[in-house]
Amino acid sequence: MIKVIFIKEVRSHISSNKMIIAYAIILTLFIANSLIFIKDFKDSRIQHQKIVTDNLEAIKKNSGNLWNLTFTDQKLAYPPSVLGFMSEAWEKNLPNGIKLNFFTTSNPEYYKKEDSFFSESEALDWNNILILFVSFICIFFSYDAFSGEKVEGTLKLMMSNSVSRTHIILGKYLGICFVTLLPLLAGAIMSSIILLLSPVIQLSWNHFFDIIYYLFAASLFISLNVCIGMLLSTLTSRPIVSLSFVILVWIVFSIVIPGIGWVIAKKTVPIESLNSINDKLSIETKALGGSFWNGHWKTPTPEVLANKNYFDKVDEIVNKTWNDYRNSLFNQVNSGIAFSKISPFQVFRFLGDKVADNGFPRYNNFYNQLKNYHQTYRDFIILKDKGDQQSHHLIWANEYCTSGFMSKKSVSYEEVPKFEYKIPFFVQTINATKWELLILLLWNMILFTGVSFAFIRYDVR
Amino acid sequence: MKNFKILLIHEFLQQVKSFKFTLMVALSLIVTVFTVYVQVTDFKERFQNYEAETLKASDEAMKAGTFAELHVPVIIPPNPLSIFSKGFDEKAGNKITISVEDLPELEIVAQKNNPFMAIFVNFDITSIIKIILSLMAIFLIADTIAGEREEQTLKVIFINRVTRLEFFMAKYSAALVAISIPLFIMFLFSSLYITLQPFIQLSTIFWIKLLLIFLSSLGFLSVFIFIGLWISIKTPSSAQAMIYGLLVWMVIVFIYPRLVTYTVSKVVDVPSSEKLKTDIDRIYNEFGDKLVEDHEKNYPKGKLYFNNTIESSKIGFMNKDNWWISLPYKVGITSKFKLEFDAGQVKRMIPVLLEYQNRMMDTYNNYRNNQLKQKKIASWLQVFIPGFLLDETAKSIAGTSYDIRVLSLLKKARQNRSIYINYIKSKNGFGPKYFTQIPQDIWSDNSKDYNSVIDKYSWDNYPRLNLTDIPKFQPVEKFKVPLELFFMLLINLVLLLIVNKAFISLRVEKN
Amino acid sequence: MLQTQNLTKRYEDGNLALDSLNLEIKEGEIFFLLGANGAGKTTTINLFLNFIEPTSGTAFINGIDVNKDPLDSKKHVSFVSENVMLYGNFSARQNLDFFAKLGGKANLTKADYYTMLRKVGLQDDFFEKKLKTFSKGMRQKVGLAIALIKDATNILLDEPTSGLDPKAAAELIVLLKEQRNQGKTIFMCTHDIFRAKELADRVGIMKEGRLVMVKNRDEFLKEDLEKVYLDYMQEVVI
Repeated sequence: MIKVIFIKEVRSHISSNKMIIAYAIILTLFIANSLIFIKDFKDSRIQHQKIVTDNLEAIKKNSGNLWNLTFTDQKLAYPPSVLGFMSEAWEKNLPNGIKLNFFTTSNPEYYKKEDSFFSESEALDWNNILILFVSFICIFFSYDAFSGEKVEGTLKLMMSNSVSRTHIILGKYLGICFVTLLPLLAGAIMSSIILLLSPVIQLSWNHFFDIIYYLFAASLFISLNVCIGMLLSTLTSRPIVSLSFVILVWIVFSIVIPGIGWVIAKKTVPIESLNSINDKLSIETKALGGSFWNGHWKTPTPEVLANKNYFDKVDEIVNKTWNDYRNSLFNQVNSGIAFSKISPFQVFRFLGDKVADNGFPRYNNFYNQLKNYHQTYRDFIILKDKGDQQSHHLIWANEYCTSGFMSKKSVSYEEVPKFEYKIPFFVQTINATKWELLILLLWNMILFTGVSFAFIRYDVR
Repeated sequence: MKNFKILLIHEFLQQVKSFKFTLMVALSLIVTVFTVYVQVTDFKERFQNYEAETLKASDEAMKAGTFAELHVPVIIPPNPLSIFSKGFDEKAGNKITISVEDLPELEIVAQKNNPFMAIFVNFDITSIIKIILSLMAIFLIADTIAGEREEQTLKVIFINRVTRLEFFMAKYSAALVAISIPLFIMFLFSSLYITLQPFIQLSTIFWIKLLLIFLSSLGFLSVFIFIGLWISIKTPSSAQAMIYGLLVWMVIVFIYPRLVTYTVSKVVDVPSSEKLKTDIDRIYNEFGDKLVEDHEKNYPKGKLYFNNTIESSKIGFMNKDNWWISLPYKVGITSKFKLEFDAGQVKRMIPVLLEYQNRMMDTYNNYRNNQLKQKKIASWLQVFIPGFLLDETAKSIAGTSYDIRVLSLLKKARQNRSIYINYIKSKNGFGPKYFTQIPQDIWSDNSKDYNSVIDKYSWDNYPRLNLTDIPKFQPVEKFKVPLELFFMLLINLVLLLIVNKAFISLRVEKN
Repeated sequence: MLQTQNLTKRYEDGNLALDSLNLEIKEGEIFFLLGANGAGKTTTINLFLNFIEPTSGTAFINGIDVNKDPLDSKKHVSFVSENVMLYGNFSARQNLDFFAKLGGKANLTKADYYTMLRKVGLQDDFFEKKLKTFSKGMRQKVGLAIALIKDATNILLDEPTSGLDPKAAAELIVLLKEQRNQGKTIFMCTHDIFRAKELADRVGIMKEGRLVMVKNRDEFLKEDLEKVYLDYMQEVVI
């Protein structure tokens, strides 16, 4: 019986005009998304290549002298994500780089094309197509699942036959899910083909697994939406009332709760202003008492060591302060994200961001990888300096003075450790998104159970 | 039209008594309360930053010892109407520095924001109207005719001497009045909340502009009422009408605008800010060459001076011997010949600097105009989209549009700078007074001659300029009736005619 | 066979919709249940179809307790509702196909469906047209076809002739007679006294939830059924 009801459900939706319009819109959006992404990715990649090349040239230029290299600033940025078509994750508005040298890493920097007039243009990625439009389509198909058939009298007619309520629920649920998944899959396949055919985009096996994983999560998202519609359909006999409630829920989940996330973030984790931090730092560093000296001395006299000591202490304070600051930035965002995950729409959105490895998740990955690289880079310079017998092995942030006390030998450019962003492996992606996936599964289970309970008690007359 | 009143009252009551009306009013209220709270909190932060900055900047300006050092800060206060229509009020910088060395461009002051917070959407009142009230309008009206046809009440109405026009006007007016209730409550609540904030000063202009935004919002919602009515007439069943209405809403409010801005932003090329920087640097370096040339030509060869420069100019260049050549800025006790050279250089090179700065400002303007190319294309593609029209109208009225908040402001800034330059000229500021307070009668090539006054012109004690008569920056009070408002009215007119025609051929009979 | 034993339904608001109904309708019998609106006719059908639970008493379909084995009992019953919209986007045949399969008839062909639709009097060129274009009478015919194709031994009808033109109503009567002659049990709730006189083997009158009168064909043909009915109805206190 499930099969009979399933086929009826699929047929009844597919034959309607609104379905054709909805399908056409979804496919158009997917195609537009992939075509536009190809151009955008190409531009971003050129931009990124330039940053990388410039940086490597700076390293090359300065690798002839270890002392020069120590004080050279590296400008590092992460490359544009190949899966950015799945989720743009506000990439255009977020910093994507860091400046670093031996002593410090900077605060987040922007190394990108931000020239568009619409710097806050709302993206048309898979995430947004699903969360804004496909979820809306789910509403259309599921809000009158029960109340509509009741009003038409067909529910009574169905139930005058030997068919259990469970079968009806399952048949309808599977039918509506199928009908909504179809355009998603068609769009995803079309998009993927366009992307594959483009010489600009190289999709690896890892990417494919990510795409399939994302589509699996998307099916959970669609199923969740169908359940919401069906559940609200059982709570009332009038379709218009179910529709009102479903739209209410949709607005709360997609617009209100994400908006509240911003407030919660700001209230729970206040960020100190840069001016205030700078003022504090200058007070703290002044309190250390400076040691100003402009000598050319090449022997580590007490003045030299005092100067080194001062700069090392300053570095420690400055690095700690800025690290704390950066952590507070991340914490603020994470607290907002945590709250807004009350909405399953946001859970899915953030899962999409992580799978596409774009935006804030990518910056987090980048930052963590960078911290490791920084350590490697420092170790390399210290090691090379140790290898020079003539060096006093004193490295501190006073560029002019250090020249007398550390190695000035050249190092081979090839030896210098270079930062390269590693994209997360598929298994890592699943691990990073396990909670989001579990939450989606939980929502599905709870809602489906709710539908079952509600329909069992539903008055079909 | 004698039945119009009866129909209107009946229709209005039908709307406001319906369950969906109550639900939607509740929803829009909740969202408004929350949005206003967020925006006002944000405004408070911005305002506090503004006050701190203003204090700091004017403090510093008053400390100027020379005309070169005089930087008149113009800090733009946050606009209370930005709570209703954010526009560029926060995005564009809020500080312009008027000085000889700086170009009057907008800078962002006190980066308070966590850049990563951009992942959270931040709505203003206009966005709420655009998204939620438009949905409400469609939702209220989309099934009205189709529903009456289904329930056979349409037939009963037209048994009486009711004209199609009466009926149409009654439906439309009732819906408009009904939807204006939550709109009014939204504006009322927001205004009350804002008035209660001690840090927000409201003028009469504010209230007038608010009223205009309210009326524009009504014009916006009217479009959706027309669309809803049309769908309701053309669709046989009320359920279908509702679905089509929602679909149209989704396309007009979300899909089409996003598609346009997304495509235009990525596809239409604009000059990169890198190129702008390169162009500006080129002009700057051209000036640099001239400055260096002037230095080579006029500086007495081989002579060394006892240097007591208090502060250096931003405008400096390396010559071929790796010497830093710059315009004099704030000079303390030094050799007479140096002071004479500096005075001569200022007299010769400041006019040249101003000329090159004009070229740089023109380059900036060109860049901005080219950037606007994207906006123009996107605007023409959305000229029939009510949400876009409301946005642009509200921004224009509030003064947060790009045109007013950026372009007009910068134009005014340029004018003010000219006034400022003239002020300096009137004070003979483009001579020795440009870079030093040391009176000419004590200039000497012998350092011993300065023993008695060396402390007076030191870093800590340098005398300040008398700035009591300095011209004040005039704010931009621009109000231009936005073109988008006309388009909105035009769309309403067109829809009025279309829907009227549909009403005339309205099928009263159920299938 | 349809049977009730002291079937009672009291709703949560205290309304006694059905009061100890005792009824037995045998195979090959047509039973008409007459009564005013709200008398309890539709409640009886709803109880038979397990749409609601009885407060007390039992309903049986072919001896199967409807409440204990609803799915089993429903195998033996077809239902024709009063105002059925059916699936507007489906054609008559598609509607028939769906409900036939639900009713357990999985192997019917298009020809079988066409035959049934013809039998209920639907014109050929409407077989594949979408139901939303149909008039009320045509929809009723499809509804009847749905009931008949299940070939269940019992047929329940709720106001099937309301809104039908005399010709269509007459066609319905012919079909029902045919079913009765095939040994089917037919239970019809209606206001249509005229058809009752034409078709019923027995007639019952329901008043305020009680079955106040049952007469067989010989009995009510001798009397003026309308007068009897109205006499009973006049006693109803509204």
